[in-house]
Amino acid sequence: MFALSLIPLLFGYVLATRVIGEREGHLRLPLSYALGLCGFLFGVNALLHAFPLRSAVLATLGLMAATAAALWPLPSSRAVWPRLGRLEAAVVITLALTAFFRALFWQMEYSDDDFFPHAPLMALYLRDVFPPRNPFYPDQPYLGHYGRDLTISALSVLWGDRFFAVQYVVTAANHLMTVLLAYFASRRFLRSRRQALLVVALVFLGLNPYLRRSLLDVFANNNTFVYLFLFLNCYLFLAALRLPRPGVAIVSALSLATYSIVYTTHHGVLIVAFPLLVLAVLIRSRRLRALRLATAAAILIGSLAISFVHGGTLTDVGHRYLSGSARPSSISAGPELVTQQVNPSFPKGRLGFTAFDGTPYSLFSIRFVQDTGLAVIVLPLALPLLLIARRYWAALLALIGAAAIVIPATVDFGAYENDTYRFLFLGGLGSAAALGSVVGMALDRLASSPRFWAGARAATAVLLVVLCWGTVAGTGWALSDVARRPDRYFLRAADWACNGIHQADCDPADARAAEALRPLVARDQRVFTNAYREGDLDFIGLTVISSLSRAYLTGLGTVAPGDPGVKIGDQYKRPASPRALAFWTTGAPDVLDELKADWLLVDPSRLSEAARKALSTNPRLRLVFRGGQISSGGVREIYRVEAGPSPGRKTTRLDPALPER
Amino acid sequence: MTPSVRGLIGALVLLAIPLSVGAVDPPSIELEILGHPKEVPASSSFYVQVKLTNAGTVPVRGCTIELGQVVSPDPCLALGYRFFKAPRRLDVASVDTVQVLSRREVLAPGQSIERSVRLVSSRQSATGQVHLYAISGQPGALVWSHEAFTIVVAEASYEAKRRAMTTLALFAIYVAGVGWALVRIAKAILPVARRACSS
Repeated sequence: MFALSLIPLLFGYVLATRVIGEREGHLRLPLSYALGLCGFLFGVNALLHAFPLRSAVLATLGLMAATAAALWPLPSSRAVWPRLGRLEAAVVITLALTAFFRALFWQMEYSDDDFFPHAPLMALYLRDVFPPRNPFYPDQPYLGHYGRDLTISALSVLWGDRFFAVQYVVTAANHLMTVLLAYFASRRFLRSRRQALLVVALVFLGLNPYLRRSLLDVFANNNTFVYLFLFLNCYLFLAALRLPRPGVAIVSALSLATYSIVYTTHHGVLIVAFPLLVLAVLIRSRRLRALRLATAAAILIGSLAISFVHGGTLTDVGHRYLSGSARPSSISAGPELVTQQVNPSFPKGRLGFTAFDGTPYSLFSIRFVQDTGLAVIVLPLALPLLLIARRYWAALLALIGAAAIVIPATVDFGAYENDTYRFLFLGGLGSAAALGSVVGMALDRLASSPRFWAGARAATAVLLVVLCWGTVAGTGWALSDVARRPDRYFLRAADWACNGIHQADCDPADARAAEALRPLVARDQRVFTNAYREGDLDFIGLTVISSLSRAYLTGLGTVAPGDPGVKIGDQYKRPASPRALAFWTTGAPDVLDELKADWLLVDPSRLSEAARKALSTNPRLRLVFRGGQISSGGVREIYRVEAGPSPGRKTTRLDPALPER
Repeated sequence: MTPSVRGLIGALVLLAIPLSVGAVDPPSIELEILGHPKEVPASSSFYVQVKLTNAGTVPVRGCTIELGQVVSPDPCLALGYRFFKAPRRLDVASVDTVQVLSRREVLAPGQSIERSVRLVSSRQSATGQVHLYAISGQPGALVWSHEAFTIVVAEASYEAKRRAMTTLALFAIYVAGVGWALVRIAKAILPVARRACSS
């Protein structure tokens, strides 16, 4: 089955060469990869509304193969391979290799940054749970973008459902391809090696905004899909605008629509920035004005039309506002953070942002420059310069940066207000690209002047050292740790779980019990467990159980619904609700029905005497697994909760859709 | 009063505050090792049975430890350990820590608990002492009770060795690729590294 993974690559290659007509050989590789991945996600997402995951994957691959075969006879221009300079090749190879291995090693140590919710969501897709539901609060939907998790789960169907391994490799490969796509697309559109090198160096190494991280360090969670597809969408839109053709416009519209399920915030920024670029191009050039305008309008309208029906945030917004209800009927008035429902309002009433820790600050503050990166200072100057010089690739990235700053400065995102650092990172990225291009333009001018050339080169070297040192040093330190402590890096997630960096958060016995549970659990069934640590603030242990068993958990609590003091920076989850605590203390059987528990995963050492007795005498509980070292305390038991409510059961729940506090 | 005298008085007042605020008896925890394995493989986890007795006058809860610092506001208890060499300075960042009580659990004065705690052996195989500490108290006023036992850390298991070798092999590929590229960069940048023109 794994050989079928090549079909998306072939499909991408055919699109890149036959439909888009890309001639540069170096650019064809990352373009084919990104187009293949994007097309695969688009197809799987569309078909998953009607078919199970495996069928959707196979049907998508069949359609991709058929499309590639149908398009193959179209004429393709012969590839040209512009010569790569020695320095150019060495820098690009170093950066690309570092991107790949940095992402790979980091995942071998940590698996993921937001291990919850990504790992359980990927696991649940393999049980055909779609649209996604909150793995810890299964009565609640899980709105928002999901493209990355779905792509990895879908690809893992071809690799024996090993979604962790697929995640590690695809994430690392995406990061490598982002370097190549960003560099070769920059060189293609800016027509200057210097500008392209500076753009890529400053974006990947010199950005250093929030937490002093540049794009090279930003690969966890959705990020490699986000930035690979960001550059892909920019490339496609600019290609469609430069020389309007129906094929390129269709691919661009589909790619932009797919981006809406990959990352909502950045999709919104592109929807704002693309028309601004069209406006600038139409003002600066009279050629093909009507055709360019019509092409851009078709891309934007077409992509939005798809986005409003194929899933994700825009589909949710469309359902909510077109049907006239503020919330989908399935959502209770519970905390927005449980469902990921965003309720934005405009205008905000101030021009500023909210830091991750909840501190508000102004657009005109030092904090803004710290959170966005130093390059943002030159953005107001660089953007008009780039438009005047018709460097549309860099101008588009600068416009994206400007939009990514203005949107969170003026829109209130409710419970997600202090999540705006995501926008600011993109603002910094656009600013860094603009700065790189402007400095490159200046160097291109000075290169013909021997009097200034040496000084300009020295000044650029100093600028690069000052801006890039933080990321370079951090990356070097992180990679040296691999050589110093190789035993802390795991290729298999089942070995990694509760070992290495997270050894204090759970016990390998939990991971083994969860793996034993996997073949027993059916779709939509729920596991109730007492194997959690109070100090496990990121819920690593419970996430390990959910993702390795591929099951929902039940019995978790939340903070008070609607608590205005709780933002995303705070933890809204609680490892056990009052009912769950009551059960683990008394063993009261009614709780199992109230929590809709199908399985119990029990750490016997954490049971009270009463609960232990109640578990052994409850006729509805059947012990199906007991594993671990009895002498050591690392024992876990799995019980099947047999169907049928207890006699005299009283339901005290007020709202079945509301998670317990 | 001159500014320097005012500054000195201010500093003395600030220094005195931690002494007067929250000046409760520090907890006194007795640590006893009930059982431990004689030999474990390197880089593996194993269990040690311990008994902890609150011999002080204040109840303790489980500690919350973030970034090598105890951040719990109340008197709390955690377990720390280090293989072979006792830390020079007793601070939480210099030992590996284990949670023995949850934040909700309380160990009242006079009460004892027996727990099986999971430790992870060192990467190096050697014979030596495992230093075990019951760390109790509040941030800035932690009390350390020490016990030790002798253990043989044997060679790592085949799986652990294979894992380390796989990681190092991947790392070697990366180093070789980047090394090659860096030599090319050096040749492109440094005039001395460039080959002399033959013409």
